[in-house]
Amino acid sequence: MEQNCKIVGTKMYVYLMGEVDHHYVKEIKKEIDGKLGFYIIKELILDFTNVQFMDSAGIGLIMHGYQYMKNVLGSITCVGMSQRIKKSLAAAGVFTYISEEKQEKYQEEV
Amino acid sequence: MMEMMCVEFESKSENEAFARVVAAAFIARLNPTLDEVEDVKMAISEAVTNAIVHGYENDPSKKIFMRCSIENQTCQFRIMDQGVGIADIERAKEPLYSTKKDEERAGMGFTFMDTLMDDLQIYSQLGEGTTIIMTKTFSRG
Ligand SMILES: Nc1ncnc2c1ncn2[C@@H]1O[C@H](COP(=O)(O)OP(=O)(O)O)[C@@H](O)[C@H]1O
Ligand SMILES: [Mg+2]
Repeated sequence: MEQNCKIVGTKMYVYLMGEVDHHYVKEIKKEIDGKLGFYIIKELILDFTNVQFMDSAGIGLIMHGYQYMKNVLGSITCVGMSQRIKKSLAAAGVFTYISEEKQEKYQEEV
Repeated sequence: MMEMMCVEFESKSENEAFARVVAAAFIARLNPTLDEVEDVKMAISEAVTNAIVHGYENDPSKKIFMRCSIENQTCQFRIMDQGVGIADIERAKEPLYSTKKDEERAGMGFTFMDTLMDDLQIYSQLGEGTTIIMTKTFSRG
């Protein structure tokens, strides 16, 4: 699998691509968990800009990241979400515990 | 006149995308809106994933059946597995409820199937399997 994660200091950017279903999440979770276990990460940024499809497996991935970051007293942010993705995250109550940020804030670092 | 198609495929996660594409291609004749296509893809994805991870507990030797039929502007989608079955269907339908929370399952599958489709019916018997029947009427012909 190609590199989907980029580390800048204590931030880790994860670039999600294509169709985020259970099949995709199984694979990218291994990559994310490998990096989180190796580096000191305080801020996890999930980038949805290139996501064409997402089902509840994507929500599971966000919950997984949230749990991990909470345990290390870090934070998680989601950027680049389509209206459709935002709607499904809202239905699952995800925005009550993660922040949804404007992409511009991160653009210069990418 | 009714039109119908039926596919049988292995219980492998690769087939989640396969099932979505097949269902989307079948409903193309109904001239669906982009949003309607996305609704169908997501609901099918949830039902097929459930058959794989819950029904068959990731055993790739098992088979999943998908049947879609169209009558006028209404499509009925059936996803069938012969897996473990659901102990408490009412409970399973609750938002955020999952028997596999440790694997970070969102517990939102049935909630999405219910909200994205016009009707959702769940038939399940412990040790026998599960059949999901979803129907959706498409807005334009
Ligand atoms: N095909 C199936 N066979 C057996 N159990 C199922 C099936 N589909 C759903 N379930 C049960 O219903 C629960 C809720 O399903 P769902 O809303 O999709 O959430 P999730 O898949 O995230 O657990 C599952 O945790 C599982 O216990
Ligand atoms: Mg599910």
